[in-house]
Amino acid sequence: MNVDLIDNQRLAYAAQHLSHCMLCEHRCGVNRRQGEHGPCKAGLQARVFRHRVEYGEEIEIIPSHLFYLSGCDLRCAFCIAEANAFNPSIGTELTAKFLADALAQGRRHGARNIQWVGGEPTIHLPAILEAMSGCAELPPVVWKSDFYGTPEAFALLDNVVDVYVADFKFGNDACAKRLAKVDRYVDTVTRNLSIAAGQGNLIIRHLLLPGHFDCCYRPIVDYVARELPAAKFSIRDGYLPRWQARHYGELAHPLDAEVAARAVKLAASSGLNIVE
Amino acid sequence: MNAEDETNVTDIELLPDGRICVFGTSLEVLELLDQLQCGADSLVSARLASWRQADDNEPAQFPAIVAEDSHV
Repeated sequence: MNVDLIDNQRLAYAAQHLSHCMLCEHRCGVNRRQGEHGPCKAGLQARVFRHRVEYGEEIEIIPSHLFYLSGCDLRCAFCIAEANAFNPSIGTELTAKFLADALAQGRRHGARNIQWVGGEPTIHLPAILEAMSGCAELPPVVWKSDFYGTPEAFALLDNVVDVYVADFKFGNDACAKRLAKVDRYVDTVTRNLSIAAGQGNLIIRHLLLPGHFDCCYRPIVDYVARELPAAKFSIRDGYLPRWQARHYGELAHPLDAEVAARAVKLAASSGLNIVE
Repeated sequence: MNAEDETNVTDIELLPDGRICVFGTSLEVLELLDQLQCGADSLVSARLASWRQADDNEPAQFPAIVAEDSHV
């Protein structure tokens, strides 16, 4: 990734969101410089609560150096990162020096790209761009997101991100509201998928949730088959009942293996470009 | 709390029906799973093959990370 593409103008545009935050579709407009907090609770700093080189993701992006940022704009009841995801004060402050040192470490483990994950990286875009701009060189950038960002946020990522990994979680707004506490979910995510498809490579991921085959999985497959048939589609079947999942009846148990097999069959019969 | 490099940390969860969930897969864990033939053999071997192929081609640089045809 050409570091020069993260120029002063891009950094300035990103920094404006610290005074009036419109990075995600909560559009809370808080002034983070003055200590105001929106639903994500993010402040001025981004913090990394974990980083690691990962060989278990989609073949297209491994080995990938994942940086987990604390803080999120969603509140998924089944979040596997649990408390780390929702408290943006957890972890080491993301700085250019931290990033450059960590990347050198990751490269020794074989990493071929940097992947921003969360929590949700979108809410930390100003700090991420600032840190990356301070590195002498950067590998290709993978942006793994819940895709609840605004078009303004995606504009800041244009020409910076090489691969978008979209976490398309819910196939309808009612499930999104009940399980992740967000409004206008489907319109927002599908709009952003179209934007991302025009800006870089796109992998659409879906974590199969127990009891959500017909209400969530099937509509997502239908949408991708209809609107983005060339997109790579990754079916994740490793759901485990974590965080507050036990409070939601259908989510209190692992996914049946039979459901995972049925999901692959449906995606294949719908002509999706399945990646493993 | 400081962000440590957790490349060498792997969580493995065994489900009641015998499936294995692996969170945090290092190269060494991938190679171990390959030797164990744990039931996800094609997934594991495909990742190893991809890694070895890329490693042979461009060991010193960050190579292109996705195939040309993946651009949507």
